[in-house]
Amino acid sequence: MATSGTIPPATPVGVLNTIETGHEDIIHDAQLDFYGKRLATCSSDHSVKIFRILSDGSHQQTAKLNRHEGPVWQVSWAHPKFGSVLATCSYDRRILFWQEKDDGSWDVLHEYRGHTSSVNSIDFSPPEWDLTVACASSDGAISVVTHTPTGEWQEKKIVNAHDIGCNSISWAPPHNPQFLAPGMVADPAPVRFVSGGCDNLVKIWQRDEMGEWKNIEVLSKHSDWVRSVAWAPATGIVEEVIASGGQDLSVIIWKRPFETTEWTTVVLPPFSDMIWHVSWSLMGNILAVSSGDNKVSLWHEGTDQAWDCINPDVHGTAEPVQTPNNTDN
Amino acid sequence: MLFVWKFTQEKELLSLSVNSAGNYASVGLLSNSNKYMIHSFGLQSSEPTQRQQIDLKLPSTQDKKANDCPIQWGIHADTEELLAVGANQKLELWNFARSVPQPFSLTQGHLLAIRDINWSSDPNLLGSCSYDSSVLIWDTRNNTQPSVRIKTLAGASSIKFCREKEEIIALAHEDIVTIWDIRFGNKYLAFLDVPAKVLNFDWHPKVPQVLSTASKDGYIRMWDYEQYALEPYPLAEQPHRQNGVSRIKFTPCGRGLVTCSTIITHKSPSITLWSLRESSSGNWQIDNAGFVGSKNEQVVGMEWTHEQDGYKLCTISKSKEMTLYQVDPRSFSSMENPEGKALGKKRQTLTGAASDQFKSTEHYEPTSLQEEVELIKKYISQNDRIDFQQIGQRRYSVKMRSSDNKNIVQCVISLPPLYPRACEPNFEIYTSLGLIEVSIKSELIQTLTSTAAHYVSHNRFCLRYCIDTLCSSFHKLSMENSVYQDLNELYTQPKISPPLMRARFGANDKLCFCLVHPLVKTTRAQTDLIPRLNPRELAHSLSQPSSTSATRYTQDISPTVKVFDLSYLSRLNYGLARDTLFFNCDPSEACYKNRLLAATHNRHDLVQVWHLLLQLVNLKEDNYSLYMQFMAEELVSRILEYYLKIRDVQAAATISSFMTAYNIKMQKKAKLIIRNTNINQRVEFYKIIYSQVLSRWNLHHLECKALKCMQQDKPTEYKFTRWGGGKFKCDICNCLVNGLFSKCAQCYHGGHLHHVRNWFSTNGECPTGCGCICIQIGSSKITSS
Repeated sequence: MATSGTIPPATPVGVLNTIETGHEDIIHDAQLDFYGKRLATCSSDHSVKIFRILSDGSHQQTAKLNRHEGPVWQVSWAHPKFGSVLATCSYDRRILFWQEKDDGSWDVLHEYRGHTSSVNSIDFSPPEWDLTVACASSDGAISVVTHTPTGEWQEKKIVNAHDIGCNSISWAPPHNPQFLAPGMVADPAPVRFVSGGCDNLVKIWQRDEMGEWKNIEVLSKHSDWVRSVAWAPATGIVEEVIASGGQDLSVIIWKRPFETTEWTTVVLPPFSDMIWHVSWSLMGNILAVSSGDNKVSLWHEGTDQAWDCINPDVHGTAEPVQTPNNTDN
Repeated sequence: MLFVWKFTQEKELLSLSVNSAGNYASVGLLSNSNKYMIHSFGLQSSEPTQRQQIDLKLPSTQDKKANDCPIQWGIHADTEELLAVGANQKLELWNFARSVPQPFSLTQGHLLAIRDINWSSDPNLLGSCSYDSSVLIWDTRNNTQPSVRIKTLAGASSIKFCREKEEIIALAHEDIVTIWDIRFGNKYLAFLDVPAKVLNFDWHPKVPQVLSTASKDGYIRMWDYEQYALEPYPLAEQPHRQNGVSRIKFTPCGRGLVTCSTIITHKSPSITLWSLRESSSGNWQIDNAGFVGSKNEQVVGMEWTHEQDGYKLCTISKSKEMTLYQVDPRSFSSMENPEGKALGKKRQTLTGAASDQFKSTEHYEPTSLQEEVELIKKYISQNDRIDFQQIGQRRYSVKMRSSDNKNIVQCVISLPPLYPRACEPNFEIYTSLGLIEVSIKSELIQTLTSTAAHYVSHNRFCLRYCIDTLCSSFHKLSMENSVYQDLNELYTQPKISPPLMRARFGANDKLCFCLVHPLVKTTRAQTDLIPRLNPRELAHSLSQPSSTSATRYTQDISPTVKVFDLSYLSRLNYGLARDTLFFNCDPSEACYKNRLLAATHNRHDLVQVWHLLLQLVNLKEDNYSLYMQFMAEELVSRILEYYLKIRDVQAAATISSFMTAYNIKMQKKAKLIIRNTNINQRVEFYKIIYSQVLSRWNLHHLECKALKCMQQDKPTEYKFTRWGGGKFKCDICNCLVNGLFSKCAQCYHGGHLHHVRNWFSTNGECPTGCGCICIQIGSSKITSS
């Protein structure tokens, strides 16, 4: 039995799919749905495309959504419990909610126009909190749009969430880490999300009993715009983890035991270029960092709390691991 | 200070008026014998020459406070020789055209002394207000009775006709200014709620609806009674340097203000000049523009005089001095263009945004519908993007095109028969290309209706303003719908910062991201500002040196998304998940098979674990002591702890599920029990996560099994309410399902196998009415488990 926390010598997996999207401009985001069967991509050419990913490595385009009037920055899939719902945000200040119809075509379910500037980031909340989307805009505001079970669209706007503009948003996991402490009865998990903005700050917001959003925490360590924040999924440890990356070429991992106020930080070794995006794996053990030099590096926390790059040999290519084998998925 | 005239014989100076030519000033005063007098001065020469002295032959009242002798020269060409004088209850008009001025009185209408009088720009109208709290409007042609009597609750201390609109008056009460239309004297048009007592106010000489107030709290405020008719709000506020502002007056062309402060200890009141600027948003900005002079006593009257060399300020003060000030010509001329370049002639729309379409050059109120239509046609003749025509009796259509001719909005306005009286027109909006969403449409109609209602409530023609509103709204709409017109603008805006690349985990730890073409990268090094560059332009510039077309670039860069399966980094293995056995067969056989399975997937650690479990399961009962039991528990909990530590959710959940299944099967003979609650709780949590993993793999039956093996005292909130495994509720009979059930993979509704089968033999839709079409011809989304 292995005794260390290193990656087991399992079957390495390489490129599963390579999708020629046919977009006419830079792709800003690509996201797989809950099952990993469909891929939504969005691009500067104003369009959103949806591909069906087949297990044999092939793919086919199933839809092209053309309702945005500006570059589409980000896409987000809703949990399948709400049906086939996709949200997109764009430079045209709008957020569109798309729903797949029976014939496979997509329709705009709802349009949110509450922002006065480009909407940079969008994220669906965990399904426990209804069909809720949070979005961050360059006008400095954050909006939370909820489709209630009664069919209404509720909109809450936090104005002046970040000076100059908000860049990124990420929901907290819906599980209350508290319940793991022995002998305690779990309260419902607080509804929270984290945002990063042009004021170099990372802010945590919580919904109070009145349904209003309050800033409960301000994390300041970045020295330039925060480009991306990601709240790590609950991992069964009584701990909250947030990763943030910014234009100051650094990725900071914020950690604290639940119910304490002191955040400890780990700064990853400096990057050579600005950070575009940080993303956690399902179990929160791997952090993917996309940086401006066209590289994706994967970071793993060892059992000794130190962060190592899993793929230190990425040079020029953005491919994390080069292996020929395919998966058995 | 140009000149000071000291009154010595008189008791008190009360009021000042300068005639419309600006060369003749009159002062109303109280003589030593307590009689009202009027002294008049010619102002042409370097020092005022006293011309006339009129004794009004009226004794003042005993009440010292009520000593007023308001006078005003007629402002219209027809009445410029007339001086209106209010003395006690009497209102007199003195005609100075004759060599010896002669008075003719108007019928007494006031019961108590008159406080203020004011001429309208209509030559025949004169207003007066009195201590008896009545406000009367007189028509000089009919001197037997007042033509209008305005009923106010408290009376007014001051009355002023709007200089541009002869029928509008403003009345100052304690801390309120009310605006009235004398034609409808029963209700005020607007109500300006000034935070402190109003000491003085003045109408803007050019913009009809704007006035400024001076109040005791030392603030100068600008108001637009039309813009904020419902909720008046000052357009601008400027604190005076000293306490309280006693007098306020616009400069003759309205580009500035002059104010006098009230007297306070240590400091003498100062006369200050302010410049006024109207911003594009319809607000006014007041800036200090200079100091005119100071007085050692309070200023009671202030008027502009006019001579060849410009404007001078004439004031009278309580210290019985009449002073002529020369306003600094530089500061004055910089803000006050002598010819008055039509400031304020710019129409402010109700929405506050002056629309390009109608910078109308005149304030012409039409008197009939035909006139209004003509007026509108004249306006829109300048703009070829608007089309206005009559399409029926009292129906008009306004069509607007966007600059690229793509978007057309048509507004059909139906006028009521009584228009413009009493009720507003009806609006319908039609658009091309489904440009406008329903919500925006209704919002627009609402705006139009409220605009119309505002004017119609004053019986004014509103079409022009509605078109105006429509224009600005259309402008806004087309802005919203084609914001992405200028790519350059987008990328030069520092706020806008498109991310170039996002690597994102999705599904079960599949990482997907888009590769950025290396070309972009090189250019990036040169410019260092890729997020602010236009990618298309970039593409263009990149294609230039290599003399290839942009299409080639697009082909080269044809963005590719790559998907990697990184689930192995989290030790997730689909094959293991699918084939691992822990139910429905002999435990030792399951262990053996799972060991083989782990071996085929290169999970040597799991091979050892299953081997160990096999041995524990196979322990003969007679060999099984308490000691052994303890060791086994310890061993298994250590294994689980290890997997928890390295976050191997699959291994931990699988082993735990196997143990639970085994324990359920063996009942009292159970050997694999973990007593460490901490580990138990964490494992339960891992099972929840693992159930999600399974559901992402579409292994719903296994997901249900995993959840089934959760302990009973688990917190309920972690159960998935709808597809929550062991406690699946039949949506047809509303009972919990114990055996096989069937559910829709899309809406997660379902129930007992036979119930579902019966239902869908006749229906295609979900039985819960969720709208999901669960059964389609040729395909079935219903899965069984």
